[in-house]
Amino acid sequence: MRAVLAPIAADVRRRQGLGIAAALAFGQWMIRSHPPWYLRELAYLATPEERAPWIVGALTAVLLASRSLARRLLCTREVRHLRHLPISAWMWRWVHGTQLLTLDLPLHAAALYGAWPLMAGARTRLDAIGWMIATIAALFAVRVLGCALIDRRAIVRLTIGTATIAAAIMLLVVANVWLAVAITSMPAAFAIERLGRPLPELRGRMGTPTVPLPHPIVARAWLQLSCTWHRDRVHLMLSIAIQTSAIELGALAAAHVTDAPDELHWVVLLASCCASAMALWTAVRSERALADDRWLLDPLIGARAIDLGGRMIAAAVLTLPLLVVTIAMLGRHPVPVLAFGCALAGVAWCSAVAVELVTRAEVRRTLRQPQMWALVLRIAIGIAAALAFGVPGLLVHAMLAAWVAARRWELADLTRRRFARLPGEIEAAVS
Amino acid sequence: MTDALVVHDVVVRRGGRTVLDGIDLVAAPGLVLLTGSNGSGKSTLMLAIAGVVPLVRGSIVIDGHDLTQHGVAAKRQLGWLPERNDALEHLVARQWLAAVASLRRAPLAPSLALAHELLDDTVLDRPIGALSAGQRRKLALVVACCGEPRLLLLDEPTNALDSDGLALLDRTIHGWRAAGRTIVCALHRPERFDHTPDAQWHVDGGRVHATLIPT
Repeated sequence: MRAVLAPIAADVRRRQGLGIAAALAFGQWMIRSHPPWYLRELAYLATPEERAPWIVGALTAVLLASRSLARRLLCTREVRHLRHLPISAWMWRWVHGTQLLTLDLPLHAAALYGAWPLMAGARTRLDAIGWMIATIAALFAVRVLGCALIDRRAIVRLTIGTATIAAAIMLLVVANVWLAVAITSMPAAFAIERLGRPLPELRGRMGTPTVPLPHPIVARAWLQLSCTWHRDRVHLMLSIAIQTSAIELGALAAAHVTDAPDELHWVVLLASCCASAMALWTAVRSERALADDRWLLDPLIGARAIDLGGRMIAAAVLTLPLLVVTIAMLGRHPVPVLAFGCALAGVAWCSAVAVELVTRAEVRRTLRQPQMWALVLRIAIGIAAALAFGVPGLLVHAMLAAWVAARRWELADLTRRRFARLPGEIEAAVS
Repeated sequence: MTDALVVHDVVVRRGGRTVLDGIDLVAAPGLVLLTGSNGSGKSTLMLAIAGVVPLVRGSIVIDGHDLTQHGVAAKRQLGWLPERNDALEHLVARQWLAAVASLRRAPLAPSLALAHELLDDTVLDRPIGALSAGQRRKLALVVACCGEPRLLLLDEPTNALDSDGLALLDRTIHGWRAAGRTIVCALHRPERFDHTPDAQWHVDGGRVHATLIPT
């Protein structure tokens, strides 16, 4: 076992040493500035609802931050190369099991300490041990399956990832320790079996669209925002000014108009409409700023998922003032978490609609059709959805808009590439 | 005597694409030439036989041992020279050779003697990452031959080898054939290869067309 374990560990130390050292240094600083007993007191004083987002956020952050380390341990080219040697499947399971156990040791300790479940702390020692077992099984399964699915399509990975997160949150909320152990042991058993066989390569040749890692998406969004700043600065400043004014108006109304709820409602609605329209229009214009550089962008960012993801991020950034507006408007609500959720829903809606509009505009621009009325219509539909159904209406409309954008993107891609040569064909496809 | 290699209904997917689709092959003792255009799946077939990529379906039997069921016994009879050096770079060459010999339960002395023919003693005490491409290639060839396995997989074996390395390669192929072992050799340009194969496998569109070459 040492012959296999030590070389892999040394390789990880060599390649990720800087990151591990930084994490240890940062951890030491964290412990000094926020001692465990201080955090424990905070955790005990906080209500379960207040504690839940922090724990879920911290878990997700740790998993994401240590993802590359886990991949280095399990499925790099060099580690997979060792698979051609006569090493038994159980030895591989033992080696990787030990490595993953060590990697996630802080989380296991937190589980034993009673950091979760979310809704009720572990009351007995047996419960704490049970939660630790469930945590070990769940993290083991997540790490191994995360690597096993590495060469699958992004949509498959996204679906499985979302389902896993939802299941984990449900388990933490339900807070039945033995149910958690039973449920997590099933994927863990599958993961143990899977470790006996070689895992897919980390950077395989992709026949289908490549895995949309966050970096190219962020790079694409940054390019769009940068182009907007350099080429459409006046409009951008105007947009920020109008959205900021709406913030001020909403905040002033929330602070001073307390005895006339109906008036407050209309003021807030007006501010929301102004901010939404400006944010959406800015997102659409920002896309135009990039349109002249498609010749550069297309070869660089070939995958549609990357282009769409970049657009979503850029739209979210450009509609960020709207988030502040919504928080200002809903900040007076007795439940802050709900206010924050509403704000996020507003930004999700605005981003999705902006991307949908941009995609539609792209199709229409190549067909030389007017787009102003479509923009007005979309904003009107969104406002109507918000008025009629509130936040759920916004969310449903956001999902629909995102779906329409994804469907329309293929057509936009087609028109961009071929319209100059085959206008009749594209018009036929559109009709 | 059992066949050195039996491949049955093997399907391999890489990056969401089916690269090998229902491959059936049997390798008799001798030299098998594996040919095909770039990206046709030659190296993937090698990786599958070496047990490095997961199979979607099918089985691979080496020297009578199923690669999935009895992987250790099967891989003891397998030597593999990959197209590129994938060994852990921080390992010292001698350490890597000793580890492979130990795992194959083979004596280290013959492999060390072979390594000394090709590489200086000082080279063997350096980390693999510090070696030149040719030196790594020679080391990989020695590692592949370690323990005299019954099946030897050579992926583009002539790459980066100097005359000493090529001489060792020629000697190995002659010796292996004379001893009744099997060599599968993947090549981009078989016309530049001096040896006359006993069979040829041509990979095309995820399928392999096997041809016996009369001697």
